[in-house]
Amino acid sequence: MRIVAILSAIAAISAGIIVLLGYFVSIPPLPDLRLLLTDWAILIAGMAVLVGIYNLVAVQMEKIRTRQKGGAYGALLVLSLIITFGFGLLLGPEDPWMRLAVEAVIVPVEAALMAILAVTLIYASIRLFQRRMDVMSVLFLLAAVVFMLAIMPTPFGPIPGDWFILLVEGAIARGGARGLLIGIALGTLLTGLRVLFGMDRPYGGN
Amino acid sequence: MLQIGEKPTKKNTGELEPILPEWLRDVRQQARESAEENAAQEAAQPKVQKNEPPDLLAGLASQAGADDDAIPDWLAGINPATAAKPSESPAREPAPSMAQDDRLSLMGEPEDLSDVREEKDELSEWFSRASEQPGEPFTFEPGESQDDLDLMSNLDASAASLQQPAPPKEEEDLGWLHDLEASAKRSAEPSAPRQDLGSMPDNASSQPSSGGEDLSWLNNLGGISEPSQPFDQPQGKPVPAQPAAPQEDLSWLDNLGRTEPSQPTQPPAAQEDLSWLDNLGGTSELPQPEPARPSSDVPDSSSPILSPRRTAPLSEEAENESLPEWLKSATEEPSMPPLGAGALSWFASHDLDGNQPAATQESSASLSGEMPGLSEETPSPPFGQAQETGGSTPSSESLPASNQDVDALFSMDVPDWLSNPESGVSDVSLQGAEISPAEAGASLAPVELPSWVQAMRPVEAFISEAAAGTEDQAPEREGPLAGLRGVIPLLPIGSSRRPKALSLTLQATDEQQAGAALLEQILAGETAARPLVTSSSVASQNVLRWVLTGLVMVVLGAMIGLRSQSMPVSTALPVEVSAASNAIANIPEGAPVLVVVDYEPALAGELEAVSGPLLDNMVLLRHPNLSFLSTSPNGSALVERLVSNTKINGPAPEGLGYQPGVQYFNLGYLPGGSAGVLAFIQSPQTAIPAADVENFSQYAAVIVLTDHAESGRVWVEQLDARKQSDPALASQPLLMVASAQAGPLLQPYVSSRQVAGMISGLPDAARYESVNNVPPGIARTYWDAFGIGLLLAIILITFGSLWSLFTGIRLRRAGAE
Amino acid sequence: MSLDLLSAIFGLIFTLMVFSYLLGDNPLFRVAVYIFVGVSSGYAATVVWHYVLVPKLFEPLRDPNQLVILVIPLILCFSLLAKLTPRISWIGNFAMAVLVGVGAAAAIGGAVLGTLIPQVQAAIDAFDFRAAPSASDAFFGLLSGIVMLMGTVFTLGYFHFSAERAADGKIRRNRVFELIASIGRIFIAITFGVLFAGVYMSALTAMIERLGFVINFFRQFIGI
Repeated sequence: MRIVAILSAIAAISAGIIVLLGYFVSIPPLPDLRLLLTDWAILIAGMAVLVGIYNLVAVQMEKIRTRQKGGAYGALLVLSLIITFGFGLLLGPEDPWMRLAVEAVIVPVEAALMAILAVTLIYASIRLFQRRMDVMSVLFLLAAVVFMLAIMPTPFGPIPGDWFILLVEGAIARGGARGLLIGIALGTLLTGLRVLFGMDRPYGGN
Repeated sequence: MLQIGEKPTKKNTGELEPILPEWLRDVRQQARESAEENAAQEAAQPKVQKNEPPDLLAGLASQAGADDDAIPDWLAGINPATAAKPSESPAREPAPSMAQDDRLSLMGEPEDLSDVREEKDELSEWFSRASEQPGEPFTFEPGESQDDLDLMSNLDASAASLQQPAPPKEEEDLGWLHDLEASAKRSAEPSAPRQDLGSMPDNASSQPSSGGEDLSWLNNLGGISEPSQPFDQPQGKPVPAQPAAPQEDLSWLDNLGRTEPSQPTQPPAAQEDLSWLDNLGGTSELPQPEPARPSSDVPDSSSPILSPRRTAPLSEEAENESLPEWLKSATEEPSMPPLGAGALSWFASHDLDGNQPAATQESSASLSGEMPGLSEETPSPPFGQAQETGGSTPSSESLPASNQDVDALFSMDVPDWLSNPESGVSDVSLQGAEISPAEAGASLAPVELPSWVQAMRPVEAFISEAAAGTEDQAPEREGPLAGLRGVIPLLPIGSSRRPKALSLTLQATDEQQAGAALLEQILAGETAARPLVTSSSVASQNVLRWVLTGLVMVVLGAMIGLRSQSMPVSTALPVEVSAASNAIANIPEGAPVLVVVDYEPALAGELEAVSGPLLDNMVLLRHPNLSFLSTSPNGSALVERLVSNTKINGPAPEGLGYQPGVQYFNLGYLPGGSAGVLAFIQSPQTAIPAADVENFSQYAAVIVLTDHAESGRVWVEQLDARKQSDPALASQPLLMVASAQAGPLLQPYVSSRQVAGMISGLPDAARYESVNNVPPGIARTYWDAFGIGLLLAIILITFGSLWSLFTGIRLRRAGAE
Repeated sequence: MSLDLLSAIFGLIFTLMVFSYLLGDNPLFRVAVYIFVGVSSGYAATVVWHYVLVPKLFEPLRDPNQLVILVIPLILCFSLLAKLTPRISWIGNFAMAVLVGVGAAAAIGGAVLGTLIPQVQAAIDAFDFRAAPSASDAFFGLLSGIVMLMGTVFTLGYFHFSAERAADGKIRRNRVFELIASIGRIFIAITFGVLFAGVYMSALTAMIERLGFVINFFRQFIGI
């Protein structure tokens, strides 16, 4: 399978170079080729979503077949998936019944999960100093509390000096956020170059 | 070459007379002369045939601590009269065992000197008696070889480490020993601790009477029948054994290597031990040692360091009546089995105190380093094994082996007859084999080895049990073992050549075992599963969580249920919010606007609350055509919910009356992440066929609704990269509506003006609502509860952190204590 | 029963089932979560099918002119199905390679042109006083710029983990970088504190939304 690995690497590198060149060069037929490749990427990504969902079903089916712990829950998952996908294939995502699935199941569950996070965050903040007591922890909690204090509405209006707090803390946070963004961009650049150079082959070329 | 399982062949000692060193020959001559004097005394004494292999160096052990006695103990012990005397020095130090150890180490055999040390050193007694006697010159027959002299010198060196006190000297004619010593001094390297062995001649000289008896065998060395001329006979004529008491005469040899001082009660055992000396060479009685003479008077050639060893008869004629009894034993079958043939078991089966089987004949051997008093028993076992038994009991069977070992020690060059391969296990009889000095020097004709020499051949003891007979094996034809047979024993088919079974049990002390057990416990503790947190700790955590949950639910529920809107909203808009407001105001009327719905259903409530004022304001002001797009599958399902909750599609007057497919379009799901965004920016209709615009620049504005910075970053990057190549996009504002968790990370893009404006979180939305006079929306509804929630969080976090801080300090102090 | 009521009822049920997790893990919570995953996955598959594959892949096949163009993406898309079988998963490597290559290139272009250069430029422009409308704005802009620059530099310096072995055998960073990292840690701690506050505000908003939903449901159910 070495020839397959080589061909895969050639495909990845060539497609990447064509798309990257399109950022800097607009010589025909480079833009068209770039558009073609990106369009293919959309299709492949969509297909990949379906493959991933099928894999989810296969894993749960295996759990059910082998009667592992949590197999009943897996059966519930597979059943709901099949019903939803079946109705979706037939009715389409815009059908009110499909919207029912969104309004009745997806949104409430996810929103509720996010809601209990509020209690969890308070609980974790209270126990932070029990687990770790250092300057960074104090700074972290202090910054969070001060920021919430500045943001918090009061019956008497905003607290005095909230603008200063927001200015200072905002400046510091922006500086840190910019550093983080630059760091993320550098990491993305490095990772992408490794893929284009063939050093990393996450597509199974190794 | 002695093969495994073979018995040493007997040799006629007399045949080896010519190759003896000169000093040894002198000693022998002297022995013969003195033997006549002692013949009568020995004849009167009972002879005890000892068939045990002589312990050649047993007497050396007793001589180690001897002082500068002229007569060596072994010579002193030869004299039966003196043997009865308590002539042994009381101090028998471990030196003999040390010397024995040296000899054993030289022979490469395991040592077991416990028996040696425990047993009576009878030879040392003999030595002590001999030391009291004036040293007598001991002349060997001509034909002594340099090898013999060297052997004697080596024996002297090894025995000198015994450092035993000199035994009581006995009056004995041991002048021949002086000759031995003198001759050894001439040719051999004189070693420092020679005094012990050097005292032998003195001992011999101090014990003329016993020495004369004891040295009678020397007359028979080389095959002489009369003490005066044992070695004048031609080769092949063994010297008849001296009839003198062989046992007591040979006791010194038994005491060789022993540490214990010879006790006065040892004479009978010494008599037994020395019997082999009587039999050596066929002499019936040991020659009387010559009177002790000063060592200076002793010629070098006749001053052996140690008494000469016995040699096996060189021919069958040695077995004739002319052979003294002590030499006869040398020609007999060895009482001990040959090496490798269960030799160890043989030793174990025999009583070391004296119940020895009949001595086997001793094969003729080189006369290098022949010791007086050697019995005729074949010294078949190696020196070390001989010492095991000889040291324990003055067995005559060990004596020949000792003598053999002494010969090996003395010989510097291995004569041809030693190096010639052995043909079979049989008594060696030199039929017609006459070795003349000239022949020995001129041509190295193969000669059958004496038994005691054959016994000295190293063999592998552990193979002995399963080794097949060497006579069944064909001799090797090529290689270094060409001509030899049985060097590599041929095991029967099916047998596995396994090494000696060794115990694999680790010999660990109690302390080491205790340490190993402790380490094992420690390791077991590391791998063992740790017990879970106690229920009290888990219960306290659950209680805290329940309290917090109840508190939050009650407080927020109350605020929501009361529908309170008492908390004022600040009208000071942040810069980015103001910029967003301005950007909305600048959107052309009825222009298409792209709204990217990139948030998850989890934060649908927040984003709907945050984006509602902006969208409402934009719809109210500019009536744009909204195109909703999502880069997540569930995002497309939130479009209707968004439009519904923001009352965009609500019927007027409550809503804005937007119709799907007319005023707003749901473009659906755009997969591929950044690649999909890039594709959509390049050509919207290519990426999304349902797109209502051909070029992306046709959108008047792009509004990204996101709950995570990653999605917003992708759109910012791709749009900004596209703007550099498409100037038409330069005036297209990019607005961000982000959740409170994504806002801080997207602020740098606002600072860099890549994002025209941003509304982040409920506070910004409430202010935007307040400033733009937008109908109260979700933001205002949530505002009071939001404020109370923040206040609750601040109070809980502050006081809870202080409480946990003190608790943690207390716990750490308790832990430190 | 209208769909809205049905939606509300189911919404309430599932909301309460998830809220039960605050009392502890229980089967109700697990049932709600597993059903959610199933429904969400099924809806995602529906969306992909209707919004991506059908309009972009299957419907164009009706047009013979576009058949030639769509052969390759058609093959690539269906080759991904081979990823489900380990034995023939290598067939899908080509499609994944195209996707990864295009995605990497897009990420590189966006990172360089969309973040690196503009953010660096923005850090420089913060000291451009010409754009400031007034002196006070310039002064505050300068202060803000200095703080942001310090935050940027020190935050990036914190993530510099190159170190060398000291004489005593311990691995330590350069002293200068160690100082920069220490200060950067302060900026990062404050930034994460602000982020934490933002996450709590988002969660608080979600909690308010859910509680409002429940309360409004009961209120409508009761008729208050």
